[in-house]
Amino acid sequence: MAKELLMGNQAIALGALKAGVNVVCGYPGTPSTEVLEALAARNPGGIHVEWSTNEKVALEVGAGAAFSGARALVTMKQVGLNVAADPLMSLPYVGVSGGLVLLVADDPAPMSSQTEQDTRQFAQFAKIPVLDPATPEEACAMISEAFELSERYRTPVIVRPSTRICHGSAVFETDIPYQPHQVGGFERSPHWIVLPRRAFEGHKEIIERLPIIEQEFCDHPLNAIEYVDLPGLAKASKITSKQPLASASSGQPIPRRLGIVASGISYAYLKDALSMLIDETKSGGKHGIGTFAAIEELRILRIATPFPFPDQRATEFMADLDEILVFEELEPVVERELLRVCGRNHLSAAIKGKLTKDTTVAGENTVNSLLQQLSVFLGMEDSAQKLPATISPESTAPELPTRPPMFCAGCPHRGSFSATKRALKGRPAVFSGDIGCYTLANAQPLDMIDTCICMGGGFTVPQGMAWAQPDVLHLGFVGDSTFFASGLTGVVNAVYNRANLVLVVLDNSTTAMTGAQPHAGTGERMSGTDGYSATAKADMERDAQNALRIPDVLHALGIEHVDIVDPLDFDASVEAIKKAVAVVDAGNGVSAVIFRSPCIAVCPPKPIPWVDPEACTLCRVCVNTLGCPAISIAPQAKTIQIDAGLCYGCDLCVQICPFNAIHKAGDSK
Amino acid sequence: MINVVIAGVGGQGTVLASKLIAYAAMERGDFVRTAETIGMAQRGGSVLGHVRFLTTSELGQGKELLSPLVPKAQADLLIGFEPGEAVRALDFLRPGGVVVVATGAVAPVTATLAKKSYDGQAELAYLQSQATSKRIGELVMVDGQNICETCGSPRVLNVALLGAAASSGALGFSADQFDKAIEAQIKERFIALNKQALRLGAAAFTLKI
Repeated sequence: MAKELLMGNQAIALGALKAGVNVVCGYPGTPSTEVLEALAARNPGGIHVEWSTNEKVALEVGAGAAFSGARALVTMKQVGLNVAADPLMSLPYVGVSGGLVLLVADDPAPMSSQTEQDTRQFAQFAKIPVLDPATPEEACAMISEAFELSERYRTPVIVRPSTRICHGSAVFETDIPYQPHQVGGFERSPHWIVLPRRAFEGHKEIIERLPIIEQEFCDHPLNAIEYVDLPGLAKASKITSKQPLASASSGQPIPRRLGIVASGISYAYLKDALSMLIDETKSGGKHGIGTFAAIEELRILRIATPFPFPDQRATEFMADLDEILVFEELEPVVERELLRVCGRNHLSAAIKGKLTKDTTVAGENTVNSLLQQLSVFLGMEDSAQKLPATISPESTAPELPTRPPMFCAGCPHRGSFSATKRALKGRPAVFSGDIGCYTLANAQPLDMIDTCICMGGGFTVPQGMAWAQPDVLHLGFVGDSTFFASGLTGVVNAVYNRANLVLVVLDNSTTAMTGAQPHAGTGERMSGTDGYSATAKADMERDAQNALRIPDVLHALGIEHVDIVDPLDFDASVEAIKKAVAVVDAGNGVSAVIFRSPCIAVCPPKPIPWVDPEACTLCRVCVNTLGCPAISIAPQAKTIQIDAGLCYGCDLCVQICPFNAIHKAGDSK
Repeated sequence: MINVVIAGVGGQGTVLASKLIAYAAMERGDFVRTAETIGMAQRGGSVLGHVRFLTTSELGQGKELLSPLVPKAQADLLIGFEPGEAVRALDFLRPGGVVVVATGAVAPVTATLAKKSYDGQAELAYLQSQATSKRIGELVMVDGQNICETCGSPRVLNVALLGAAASSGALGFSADQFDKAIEAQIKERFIALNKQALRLGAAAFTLKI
């Protein structure tokens, strides 16, 4: 058997291959992107894999495939599910024929997202079953399970990994024979048409099937109850009837029966943290946090199916417990369900978690946060200052510079924004941004993105601002992939309602932030019409010819002034912005500038410029205009220096140096 | 179990470094988990990579490894791709663990803009003081710039640091164990270059002090 180190997302792709998936569609979004890329790379032929225009389109394409009896996997990040919410809400009503699985990746302590929303809640809202893996291995296995569930109950099913599962790697056997699922074909039936009458029937069907799925989940092997063997306590065993509690009159605390519930990756952290605390106790409390105190019993419930919630399993778990601590990331989904189950069954267990601030309320859980919260729960001394795991850095450490994310050296967006800033020097203007690398123009020294809320908002938010504040200039910035995903309707709205603003398309020929995926504007596809892996030269050439051209699209949508300029040509870029602004100033409605230059991820580096130490006066114009990570101040010198390891040869610094001190590679003074 | 934390700046090749360690350990039959920083934070920001592996004998004893993240104060080895990031991640190191650090500083734009010169010297001095007090068991400082110049590529720092890390013994395998990983994970035309950097990094450990 071949063994490979696979990232969680690649393992999920493997799971889809095992399930015989027929159609795969999605829109790139960290941390979900690599699932679809891995399926395209491992396509044995016969699987249709596509980057769809956006998540709504992807889900509808996937639904269509499932209506026709195919197994369809639709991938997206959590905020992508917001875009797909319209079809999502209707799909459980009409149902599916072939399996329809949504892989929706959550991003706690957002590493690359605009919200900390919880897909488990979306699943509850849409009444769609959701599976919650704790490891990449489980995520892989859950794909087949989700397809079977989907077909058994004619419902879409969500699998929800989080960042640490998507981007965590483990070792997998990869010799998986691909057996395509047999596509049954579309059969006409009134239930495919979600008319109001049908919606009422559909709602009843959902309400009838959810308790049946819940029953199945109650016996799910991953929703397991474990009895923890704690040192110093009597051998743990399943206690069926409540024992009389020890008397408090002796002054000893009454031993408690405790439970811990964990969901998703928090279960993995729990296992780590608990074993560290058990080791600590076995060592006689060498770090001074004492030992487990006043515990009669400790048991763990893992919840791998947050919706529909396995009520009966939870009831069995909680029946004779005094206190329960819940570990989960994002929203207190499991915690609320446990409270509901307690209320319904008149159970007296005290539920502690996010709602009681006994666990981390926002951001990511870690083994360290669990250690601290567990030690308190288990009656030990607060480990926060005691365990070596939680020692804070020494105060003698030098103060470190902050290092926020920023444009890469050589990024064409640096040219687009610095030229726009130069063109509008001294003029009040608002810069509305969008989702993509270019949000980073917000960082110093560009300091330029003033708003950013969602995909497509870069073209629409400034329209509202312009109606509210017409005496200020408004510019909206949208990237090329975002332009096709969510920008088009905003352009139509601006033209139709005669908004006065400059639309800027930052065309770097790829979906950059998520790691360079193709889109309608590049033409390149993830698999060909006949299910090939899209590498055949003839097909790639045909794809390039089919690429949608952004200037043509803007013209067709009714914008007359459309300028295309290379953002690495600083002076030309300044002029292009000035001309577009003049159109708006003249009251001629919307104008557009397309800054077109490829992302450094999809083009080779160019020779790097050199600094003439005699000419450089350390005036800092390059530093303060561009904020390029490759430019720094040379130690013990009175000049700037260019880092050869980072510089990509964009030559913007050459163009803006007022002392002609930076020269193109090969140029003499 | 061996726990490794890799600290650097997005774009320095930290993701490939943790992949190579994981691959080399896997080749040996170990059970491996890793966690990476991928996405927006990767763009020039501070990035952390976690690699954890259980040896075959530990697996035989029924040991489990579920979490991909190295808890604080549990790393046997910290690889710092530049001095400030090594200091920032130092609380991951177990008392007496090994630190391999590249001496070349990557000045953040925030420092350059604030007219602060940042050359990493204060951070290296701090690491040395921690080695003196035995908080750091072994400190290996690698002149990555010199190795990159010798190899003629600025992009082999990651592999050079792996060479030094392997030589320190903290990984439980030698630098040679990385050869197969490099062959499997790196484009063919860069393989020889990276193997050279690996050897130079390994030698940098031997020559230390």
